[in-house]
Amino acid sequence: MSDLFQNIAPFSQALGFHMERQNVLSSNVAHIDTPGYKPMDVDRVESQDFGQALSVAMTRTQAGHQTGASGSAVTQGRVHVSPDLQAGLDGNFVSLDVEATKLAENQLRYEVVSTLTGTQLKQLAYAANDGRG
Amino acid sequence: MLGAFSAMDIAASGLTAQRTRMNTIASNLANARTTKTEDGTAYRRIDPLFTTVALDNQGGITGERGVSKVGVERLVRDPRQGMMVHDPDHPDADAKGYVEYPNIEVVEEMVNMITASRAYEAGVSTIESVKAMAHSALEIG
Repeated sequence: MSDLFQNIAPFSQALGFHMERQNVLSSNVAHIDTPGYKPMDVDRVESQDFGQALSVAMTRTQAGHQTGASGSAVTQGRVHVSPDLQAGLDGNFVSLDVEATKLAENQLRYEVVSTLTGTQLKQLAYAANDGRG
Repeated sequence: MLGAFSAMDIAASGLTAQRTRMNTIASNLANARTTKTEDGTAYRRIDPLFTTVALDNQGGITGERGVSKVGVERLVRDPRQGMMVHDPDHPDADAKGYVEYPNIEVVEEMVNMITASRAYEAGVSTIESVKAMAHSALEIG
């Protein structure tokens, strides 16, 4: 893979992560009346930081360091049962307002990353057109 | 891989479940005064019992449990006894002259109806949200 699109890969992984989280949150809303159901959420796996997606060029200052190629940053999520749950009368733990907030927040994050991806591609297109828009 | 369409599938399963619930509520309200069912007893209110249904192909996120759809396991009949009214002339009266009316409280059904309706709306807005995300993905580039 050429270096041309190496800045795009982390963005698409971030998009994938947020889409998967949207799936998990949708599942929570769907189970709003399922007895005993506990809502789940997704966390990014440690050391997987979207900041890496934004750092255009990371340089290795020592041989022992991990490669900073942003294309290698894999955004992985870990599904877990949401903490601080309160049970309803039917033993269901889903709270609609909490889930709705998370859905809206996740959607916004997805749209931010999607816009950033579009901007990156537009930059490439700008360069490819010799700077003539 | 979980994508926009699987999220819509999951939300749609929630909508179907809530619609089933709405059907049981309609049945309960319609039969609020039904004193005789097929087995000869008074009508007793039914409730759907929801359960998790696995998605066809789970994968992508690492974790012990993935996402799941919701399904109706079965309809449960409410065992509570209905109101017993002394009316010996009623065709469905028992040997002592009492008629059992259905155990349906209109207020209870109304509250359930509002809950089902709100849960349905929540599912719809989930789908709207996923749609907006898929739309913004289409605008990349």
